[in-house]
Amino acid sequence: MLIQLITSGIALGSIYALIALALVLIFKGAQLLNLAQGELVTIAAYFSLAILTQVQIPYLLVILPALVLAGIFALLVERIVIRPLIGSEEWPILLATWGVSITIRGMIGLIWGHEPRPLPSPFTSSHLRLGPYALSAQEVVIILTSLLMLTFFYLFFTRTKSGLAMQVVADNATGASLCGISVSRINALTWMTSGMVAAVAGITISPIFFLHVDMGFELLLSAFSAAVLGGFGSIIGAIVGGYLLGIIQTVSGGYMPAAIKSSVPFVILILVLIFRPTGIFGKAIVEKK
Amino acid sequence: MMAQASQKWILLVVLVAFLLFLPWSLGNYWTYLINLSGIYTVAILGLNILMGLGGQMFFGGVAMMALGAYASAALTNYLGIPFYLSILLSGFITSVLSLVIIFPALRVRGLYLAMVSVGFHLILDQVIGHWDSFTGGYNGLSLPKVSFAGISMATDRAFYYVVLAGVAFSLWSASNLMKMRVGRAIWALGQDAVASSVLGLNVTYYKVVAFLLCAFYCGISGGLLAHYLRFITPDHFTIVMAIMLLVGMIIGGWGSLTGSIAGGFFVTFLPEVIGFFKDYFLGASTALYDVQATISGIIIILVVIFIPHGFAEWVKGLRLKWRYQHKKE
Repeated sequence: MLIQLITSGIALGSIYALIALALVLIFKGAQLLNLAQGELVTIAAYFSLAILTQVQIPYLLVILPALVLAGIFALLVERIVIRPLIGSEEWPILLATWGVSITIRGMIGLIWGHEPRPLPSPFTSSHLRLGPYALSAQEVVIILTSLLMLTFFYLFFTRTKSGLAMQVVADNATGASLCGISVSRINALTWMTSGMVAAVAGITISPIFFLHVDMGFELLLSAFSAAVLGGFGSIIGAIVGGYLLGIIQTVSGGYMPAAIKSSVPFVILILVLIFRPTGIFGKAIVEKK
Repeated sequence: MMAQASQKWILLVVLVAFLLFLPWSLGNYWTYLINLSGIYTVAILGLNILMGLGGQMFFGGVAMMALGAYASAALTNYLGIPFYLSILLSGFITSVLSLVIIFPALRVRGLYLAMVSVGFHLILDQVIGHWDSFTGGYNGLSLPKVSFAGISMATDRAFYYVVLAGVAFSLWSASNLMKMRVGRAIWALGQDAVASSVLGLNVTYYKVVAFLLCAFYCGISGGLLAHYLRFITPDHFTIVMAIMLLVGMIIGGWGSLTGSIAGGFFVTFLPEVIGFFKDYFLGASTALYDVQATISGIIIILVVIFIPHGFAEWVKGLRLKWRYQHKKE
């Protein structure tokens, strides 16, 4: 029982880790919290549903076109909504991303309706047997895909010129632009990357959690708690926090009433902010008194 | 001097007479909308004190309204307290209950405070939704019809006066509070927390006061809503409503207490206007909720991009620009 809960926890945690990574990427690159990140997850899942119902291709292949669409979509959001607000205070950008989130949810509701839909995947019905334990194959797919994505992004950040430029902009945007790095282009790239990371999360989780309008927003809030748990602003922290939160939530959900399970991330968020606001790896965010 | 003073009095009398007779010149539906606007005005007033003046990014106004609504409903349903007392008491109860969120909220600022308040909202939503025996859960909770001194106040027209009294009391008390030491301290806090603490202001104390005041007004607003609709479910206190209150506050003007009235009207009438145009352009069969969400989201984006400091500031800016251009010619 416990081992099985922990493996589902790791699967859920991989999703949290991916979304938290996407949040932290944008936060570091542009100093803003993207409340529409969850909707980028949702819309990628619906894109892949639309593709799967139109053309007959294997489930794993659908990730590629959905990734491209999600990247373009994130780029459009950055161009239309965020670009005009660069240089303004914190709250207009926060509200604007929330506006994007509400708009996308309304549009998804208009196009696809409100009833939850499954994303067809061949892996949901099959199980892997390891001795006495049975693992859902979809959970294995989630864990492997997200590990692949995380490795890919690690290499991207440390080995490629664009990745290094993104790190430089995150560290010091003025200095970066003095060195000849186009900050606005890097910002666009950051948005695109985080849209794609979110897309992977959306496509791999929706065969288990049914697709519905609010799924992204719920995931976003959990992912934010995960990022705070790991230390907001730290990429390693986002990943570790994501896995940790996924395990805590699933294990505690196994022993407590189901209604409590969805509140676990907020309880953890509030506890972390009270007792260790820096999280595991982060820098201080506490209000100085 | 005398002439000016008497002019002021005449204006006030005309205004009061107008407000007292207003519902008799309107149909029931318009009165209903005006009542709702008044109720949301009170909540936005609370948000204005905390966010507009105090500068705290707090998104939990609607959660506080929910606390007030359920507190007021419980007082009336389980203890039989008359509605006017229970509305007033719900303000105090909400303040006390909000201490749960105020203490964590004091530790963080900016984006973190915003997310903590969203978390507060969602936890509260779960609690209300699953505590069936007390709140009725997602099936909702009914309240008895309100009456005052034997007269039924349950019609739109009669309840208009209750709302009017609530709005007048809130505006009057808030504008007086804001002229007192407390209000000025909260304003200073919003301008620059570090500078105010250097000047000897107890920042934490006044922050708590700002939160409590916000909770008080939001609680009263929730109490009014509960007794007006006589039926409350968690669906009346959604996260979308939370952001709409915020946009209403921004449109009315940051920190402008009278601007809260404009905000209340905006929050109430925007869905109505959208509904009207939806029927006209898309036909009655399209889901209203989704169209409202889409258009509201777009309006939020447009507001923060083009008029981030409210309508009054925007008009003032346009006027200055116009005057400047005419001078040049």
